[in-house]
Order: sequence, then structure tokens, then C-alpha cells
Amino acid sequence: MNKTLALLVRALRTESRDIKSHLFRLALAMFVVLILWLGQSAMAFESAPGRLMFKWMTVANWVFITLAGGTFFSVAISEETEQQTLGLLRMANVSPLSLLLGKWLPRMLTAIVLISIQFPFTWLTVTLGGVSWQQIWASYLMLLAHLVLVGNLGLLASVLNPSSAKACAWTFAGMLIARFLPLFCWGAMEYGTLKGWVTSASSQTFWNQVVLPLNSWTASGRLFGEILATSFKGSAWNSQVISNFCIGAGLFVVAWLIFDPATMRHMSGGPERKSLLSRLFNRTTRSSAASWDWALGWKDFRQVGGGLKSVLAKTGLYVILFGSIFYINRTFGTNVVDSLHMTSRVTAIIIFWGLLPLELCFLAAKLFRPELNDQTWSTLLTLPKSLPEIAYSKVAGAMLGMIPTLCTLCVCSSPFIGDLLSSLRRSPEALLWITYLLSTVFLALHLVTLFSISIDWAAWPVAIILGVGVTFFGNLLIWVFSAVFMLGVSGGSSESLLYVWVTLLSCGNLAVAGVTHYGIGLRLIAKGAQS
Amino acid sequence: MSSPVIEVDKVTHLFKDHRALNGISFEVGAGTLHGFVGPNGAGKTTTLKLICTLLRPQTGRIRVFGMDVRTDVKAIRQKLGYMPDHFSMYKQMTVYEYLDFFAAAYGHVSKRREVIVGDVLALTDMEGRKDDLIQGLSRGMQQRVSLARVLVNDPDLLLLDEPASGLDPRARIELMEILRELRRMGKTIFISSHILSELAELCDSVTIIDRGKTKYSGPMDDLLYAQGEQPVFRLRVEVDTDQWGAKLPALQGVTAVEPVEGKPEFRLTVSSAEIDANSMLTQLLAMGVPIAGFQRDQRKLNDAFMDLTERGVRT
Repeated sequence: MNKTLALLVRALRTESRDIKSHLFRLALAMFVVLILWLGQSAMAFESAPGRLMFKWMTVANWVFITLAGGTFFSVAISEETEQQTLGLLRMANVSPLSLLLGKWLPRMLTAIVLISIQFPFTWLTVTLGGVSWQQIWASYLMLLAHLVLVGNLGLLASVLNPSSAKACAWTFAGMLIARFLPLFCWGAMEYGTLKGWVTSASSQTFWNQVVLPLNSWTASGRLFGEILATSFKGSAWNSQVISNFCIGAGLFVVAWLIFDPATMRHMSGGPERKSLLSRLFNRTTRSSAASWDWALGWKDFRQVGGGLKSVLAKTGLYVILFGSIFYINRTFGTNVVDSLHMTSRVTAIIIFWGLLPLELCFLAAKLFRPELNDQTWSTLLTLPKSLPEIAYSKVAGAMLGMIPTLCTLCVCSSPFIGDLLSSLRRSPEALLWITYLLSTVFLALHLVTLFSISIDWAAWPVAIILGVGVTFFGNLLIWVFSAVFMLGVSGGSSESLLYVWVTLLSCGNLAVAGVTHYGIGLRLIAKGAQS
Repeated sequence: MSSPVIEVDKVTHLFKDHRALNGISFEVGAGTLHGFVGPNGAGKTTTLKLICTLLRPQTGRIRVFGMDVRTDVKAIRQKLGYMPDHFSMYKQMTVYEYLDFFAAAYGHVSKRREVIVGDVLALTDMEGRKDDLIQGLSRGMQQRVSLARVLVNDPDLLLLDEPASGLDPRARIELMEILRELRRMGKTIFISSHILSELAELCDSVTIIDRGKTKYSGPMDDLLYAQGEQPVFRLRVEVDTDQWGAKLPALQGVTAVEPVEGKPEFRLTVSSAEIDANSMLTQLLAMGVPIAGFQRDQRKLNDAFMDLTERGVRT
């Protein structure tokens, strides 16, 4: 017990000395004040402003807990492994249970304190109207259960992985699988009913008995489907709360039971046990490849872009994706030409809205991080080249790894280029929206890069979350502000004012991206001198 | 001293409130092997980073090959090779790929790179390991690859920060051999190290710094023979130590004879530097002393280091 307390006190002391945690609390306080202001402004046009404010606060807390679980809890044990202090703690006879509790408790306390300080503000939502006390209790219990589940999932990932970045990636992958696997299975069953492999009744039963209950077990399902509804009459204790507490406790017990076997190898500093794939492809020797004359591009094409093997693998995957969508289209009975058109359209949409942004985010987050981790950045900076030459060569080299994605996008969207251009001719104002979208993406990528070189633990997953999150919520807040302001000033929206506003926002995004770009340069120079 | 390759003149550098360098000044001559010594936190790595242009001097001036590190960054980088105090490697690459990459980054074309990489692999005795992944190499081997990387550009000046740190005795001796070979090739080597005995053997000149200030900078011999002090010779006799101990004070110019405890040896202090080893040896032979060994006694670099640097924890 003393050892757990010692770890708890150490963690709280460290946290209290860290300026970042205080800044984070300040940001949260400002966010609550902002929501209060929005609630007050909404009184002009909303019959129940309290409910609006309550909705904002609850959703923000849910997002915060989900992100904190994926990052803050996922580094609990792996940060000790990375700092090579885990072995020292075990040699001091700190048991796995004490260690887990000592690392888990301060995080849980910090999260609970952060959420509970908002409680007085939540009272205001009742005063403002539209929210019941029952609803508030239910939401706080729901959030607590979600925190326990996500925190323990992160803790387990942290025990299993010696690297903080990997632990974060595992936690988010776990959350995504838990959320979408049932839906995916149901989709597969629905497809089976079309082909006659599965009966319609079986698919319906699966939906009713598996997908819906599992959905009600998730915080997001309950939050958006029940708690935020106007007519909420449910109980605070329901299947989501109980299941999340139970599964969370179960994950903690698993982390405890596997602690020694999972961390022993990390502590001894011995070689990692390699997966079958790693053992097949990773050897101690291999025939060396000659560098291109454009050396920096060559290196980052291999290091960040994945190299030739990755390009071939991606090309193959896109062919499979295209083929699968085409096959599904054909099963609906459309002819070959229509199927090809439809497949191209769907593939282009999947790439443009899903895979391309994802790949860009990964590229931005991993562009400089490996250099900082391997302490090679200072060596690169001693080359007779300027910082922009080095940095832009890296970007260009890494971008070569995106050739399959960009080529597939071009090929799949080529049948619709004519339609797109004629649409733009008809309504040229759409260009403003496209510029705004591109400026947002540009800003997000810059922020991801900046965070990836500024954060010390779990850098690239956290950088992606923070970069995208800050851009999205920053823009969202500005939109909400402007909507409230416009309604307050003119009592209605004007189309031309909207276009001016979109143009201003695009310029704003680009200006912030420019400042971030400069900041990245300064940070990279500082990192070169540090390492 | 030959014409200076590095000129550091009254350089001060601050990191927030911490004064890492406080008016440090020294010079390094061309073709010399120059040791750079100081306690932890004395400012050695900061000085190296300033010289290799990773940091910009805040006050004072640093010139490398006569060029200012503030303005001639690219030209200086082209002429020097910097080996940091940590392994700075792409561990997923093979040794050949790593060296070939840096050779290409320095602008060498493909055909020329093959020759260069072959040469540096031969010099560092890594030819047999060229297709090994760097992550599988031992510490000593990785250090050799690091040194090979520094050499791919055939730099005139090598800046080595703690190159022998963490190496086993064999790897250390082999590294020192490579450095001697590089000096024979005419390279100027500026080496920061804590292994003073090896520096004393290896270096022509040395700079000792402490708390950001230069405590000594000049030839190694001047430091070890402690200029201004009375010369001391060490004499080892074959037999009858007591008898010779009584006779030795009669030698011309000898002011003190001090027997070395537990050994048939004496330390002879002479009155002035004019009495050199030759004249002393002539006198000893004339006296009929059965000489087993004779040499001028030098201070250890450790002693000089302890004398010049201050006690206490650096902040």
C-alpha cells in the first residue's frame, strides 16, 4: 500500500510541477466559459438553452475521455519501460499490483478532478432550462464508466507494449474494433442475405440481439441515442454503466495477471520477440541497396513512405478495393459500364475522404519523429545543406510513398472531372468552399507536424489527434461564434456575408499554417542543437 | 603552432539562465590531434556544436578554416565531419546503405561513392560487415560505422565528441589506432574525451576547460612537463639502492633525491632546466651507477586536470 502511495505522490508531484497540465486546465476552464457564453447567447433563439449547453459539455467530456484514455493511460507503464525505470521499480520490490494502481490512480484522479470541477457549471444548465437532474446524474455516471473502460484498455495496452506510440495505437485500434466490428459483421450478414448464404431472419436476430445491445453498452451509443434526447427518462444505472465498469475491471485484472510475463522481456533489455512476419522479413544481413543521387528523398521514401515494397503493396490493395466494390455493384445487377462508373465514384470518395487524409496525417506525424527518436537529426543538420533543403527533400521523398493513393484517386475521379468542372462553372462560389477545405487540411497537417516534434511520449498518435482535433474544434468554434454573432447582429444570414466569411476563414487558416510552418523551422533547429 | 584551423575567441553562450560558456578562447593548429578536456557540464559539447554550426555563438567569434561559423555555414560543413557523443544511426539500414546515403547527401555521384565507401570501410576495417544491418552491430562496431560516416566526405577537420565512451578496451585501442592513422593522413582532429591517459599519449595539444572557461590551451608537452617548475628525472637502478641513495646528492645541479617507496627508483630534482637528460645521464654513467632505466618524469594528465579544474558539483 505504501508503495502504491509513493507512486501516487510522485505522480501528483510531477503533475503539479508540469506547466502543461496547468495550461490544460486553463484551456478547459476557458472552454467551459465559452460554452456558458454560447448558452447565454442561445437564449435569444433557443427555448431550452440549458440543454444546448449541457449537450456541448457532455460531448466535449466524452471526446476528452476518449482521447485521454488513448494517450494518457496508454503510456502509464510504457513510459517507465522507455525510461528504463520499470526494472528499478521491480527491484525495489514494488509488486505489479502496486505499480498498476500507483500509475492508474493518479491518472484516474486527474481525470475525475477535471470532470468534477465542471459540476457547478452543470447546475447552471438546470437553471437555464431543458435539462433534468436525472439526465445530469446519468451523464456523469456514463462518463465515469466510459473513463474506467477506456483507461483500463489503455493500461492493458501499456503493459503489453514497451513503446508508448504503439500502446496508444493499440488502444485506439481496440476502441475502433469494439465500436465498429459488430456493425461490420452485420453488414457482412446483410450481404450474405442478398447472396442467399444467410437468412434474413438470422441477420435481423443478429441486429437485435448483438448489434443493438453492444451499441447500448458503448458510451457514444448511449450518449447520442438516449441521454441527450429531450425525452430522457432512463435510469442512471443501466447496461452501459454496469458493462463498462465490469469490462474495465476485467481489463485491469488481465493487465495485473500478465504483467510479469509481458514486461520481463522489456525490463531485461533483451531482444524483442519478433512476430512471424518480422522474423520472415527482418534479417541481420541483406543485400545493400544503393542510394539515389537525391539521397534525402531516397531515405524518406524508404523510411517514411515505406519504400518500393510498400508502394507495390498499396497498389495491390487498391486493386483489391476496386475489384471488391465492382463485384458488389455487379451483384446488384447493374451492367458493366454503370458498375465501373459507380465503383470509380465510390473508390474516389473512400480515398478522398478517408484514406488520403489518413495517409497525409501519418506522413506529417512521422516525417521528423524517427530522426528525433534515433537522434539522427543533428547529423543531418551538419550536411552542407540549408534546413529548408533538408526538410522539403524529406517531404518530397515521403510523398513518393503516396503515389499509389494519388494515382488511384486520379484514375477513379477522371470520369467525373468534366462534371466537376461544369458544376464549378455553374456555381463558382464552390471554389471558396474547396479553398476553405484545402486550407483546413493544410493547417491540420502543419499542426500534426509541429506536435509530432514537440511531444516527447507517444508522439505520432498524439500529434495526429491533437493536430486534427485543434484544427477541427478551432474551426468549429469560429463557426459557432460567427453564427451566434451574425444572428445577434442581423437576425438572419446573408449569402454574400457568408462567402466573405469563408474567404476570411481560409486566409486565417493559411496565416496560422504559415506561423506554424515558421515555428516548425525554429523547433527543428533547436532539436538539432539539443540532440 | 601551425596555422589555426579552429579559432575560438571569447565565446560566451547561455541556455536560458545557465551560462554554458563564459568567454572561452583557444586555437587548434592544422594537422594536429587536439584534445578537449573538461569535467561534466564544463561546456565541451556546447563548444563542439558551436564549431560544427549546430549552434550559433551569442557573443565572441568562432572561425573554422578562417571562415565565420555565423555566415559561412555551408562551406564549413563541407570541410568538417562531426561525430556526436551518441549513436546517430538509421538502424534499419545496412552499413553500406548508411555510408552510401551520406556520401550521396554530400553530393558524390554513384561511381565515386562506390570508391569512397569502399575506402572508408577498409580504413575502419568494416568491409566484412558491409551488408549487416546496423541494429545488429555491437557498440564498438557502431562506433566504427559512425567514424566511417564522418569520413565519407573526406573532411579536413574531424570533431569527435567522446568517441571512446562506453567502448571495451579492445574497441578503444582499435579506435585510437584509427585516429593515429587519420593524423598520419594529415587530418586535423579535435577530440573531446574523458579518457585522459589515452589523450595524453595521442594528442599533440590540449585544451582544458572548466565551468565554461579555458583553463589551459597549448602543447601537451608544456602541460605535462609543467613549465616553470624544476625538472625532475626518474632513475631506476639495478642493485644496492641504499648505497646509491647516499651518493646521488653529490651530482652537479641536483637539489633533491627522493627514493620511490617499494621500488629501486629515485626522483632527482635538478636546480634548473638547463641541466637536461643528456648531461644528467653522462654524470650518472661517470659515477658508475648501474642504470636500469632513466627518463624525465612527467606529470600525468590526470594531475594537470585535477590541478586546473575545480572541485564541486557543476550547476
